[in-house]
This record gives sequence, C-alpha cells and structure tokens, in this order.
Amino acid sequence: MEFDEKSVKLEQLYVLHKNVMLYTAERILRDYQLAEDAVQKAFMKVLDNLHKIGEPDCNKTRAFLVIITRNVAITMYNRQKKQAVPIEEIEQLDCGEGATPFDLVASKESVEEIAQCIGQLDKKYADVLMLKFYYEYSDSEIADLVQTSPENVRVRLHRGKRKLTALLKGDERFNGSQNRR
Amino acid sequence: MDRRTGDKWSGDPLLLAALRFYMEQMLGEFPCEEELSAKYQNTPRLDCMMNELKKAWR
Repeated sequence: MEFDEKSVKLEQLYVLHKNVMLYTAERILRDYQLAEDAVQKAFMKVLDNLHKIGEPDCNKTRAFLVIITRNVAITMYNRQKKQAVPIEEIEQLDCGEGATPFDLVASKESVEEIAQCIGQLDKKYADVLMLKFYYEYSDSEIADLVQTSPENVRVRLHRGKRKLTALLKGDERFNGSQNRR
Repeated sequence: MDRRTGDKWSGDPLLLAALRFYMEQMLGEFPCEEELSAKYQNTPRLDCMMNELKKAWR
C-alpha cells in the first residue's frame, strides 16, 4: 500500500470512527482528555495493522477499532490506578483437539444463542476470541493489540473457549444428540 | 480448522456467524453516530495529536 493510500485510509478511519472510539474510552477512563489520549494510542496500533483492515466504512472495522480502544483504555486505567493486573497462570494448554461445542449444534437459530453466550463472557475473553477467530490475528499480534503477552493471550483464548463451551453445554438446547455433521 | 495449530475452532462457520452476530449486537449498544457526533463535535486537541501522529509516521 502506497503511503498516500495509507494516509487517506487513516483519515477515513479517523473521521468515521473517532466518535465511537472516544465514547468507548471515556466510559472506561471517565476523563475526556485521557479518552483522547487513548484514541491516539489506539490509532498508533491501527497504523501497525492498517494493511489488515478492510473497508473503512463497515461494522467489522468499527468493531475492531472499538476493541482496540477498549483494551488501550483499560490498560491506561489500570496503570493510573496502579492496579496489579493479575498474572494469569500458564495452564496446560491443549490445542483444541476433540470436538468443538459447535459440532453439537444444528440449527441457524443457534447462531444467536451462541452470540448471546459470547456476550456473557468477560470482555477480555470475548475480545481475544473475536481477534483470533473473526479478525484472524495471530497470538503475538493480539498481544500487541491488547497490550499483554502472547502467553497471556493463549491463556485467555483457552479460558474463553472453555467458558464458552461450558455456557453452551449448560444451555439445554445444546445438549443431546443434535449433530451438525 | 487451523492446520498449523490444529485449532478446530478456526474457520468454524457457526462460530464465525455467531461472532459476527455478537459484533453487530455490541455495536448496537452504542449511541447512534448522530448522537456521538453531537457529543464530540469539536475535538481540536485530538485532531492536533492525529496530525502529529501522521507527520511522525511519514
């Protein structure tokens, strides 16, 4: 991508999504100036990933910027409060062997129910699941975007998948012998 | 499935559809752009910071 194209794209992203990013950051930081700082930091991350961002004016891009801004703001908040961010234990991680919970699901109505379960997850798990499986970022790219270590990203993915699986299995509509394949 | 890692969640069409649905729901929780534009009408400091960022990036 030529520099001028990148510059135009960055400007488009800024004009289209600046407001929702400010809103996201301000809700977390409760300070307008800090929110502006967070948005600027978020755009610094956007610059590193500009080539992976698709159409500027679409919900997929908008949601991506919201996720980045949210994580930047949370990091700033934690540093401001000098809160120790809990060190998540590195667990024995599997590589997703065995059936996925989606193997148990048959119907299109399930999409909404799965989405509701994702919505019940802690945002830190939902965000990494989104970045990994919807936006297709690598663990190290996600680590940079959410400002943590690649190891912590893997832990969050593992826990997010585990919690989502538990939520789905806890819903009686996903139990039993509904086989998709 | 991601062949590099064996992660069966990667590329699962139902998961992708659900994540897309979740994304739309998430965005639906925000005020509309008209409200946001009215709230953040003037952002000279942020505009200036973005200009500085673009210059530094160049």
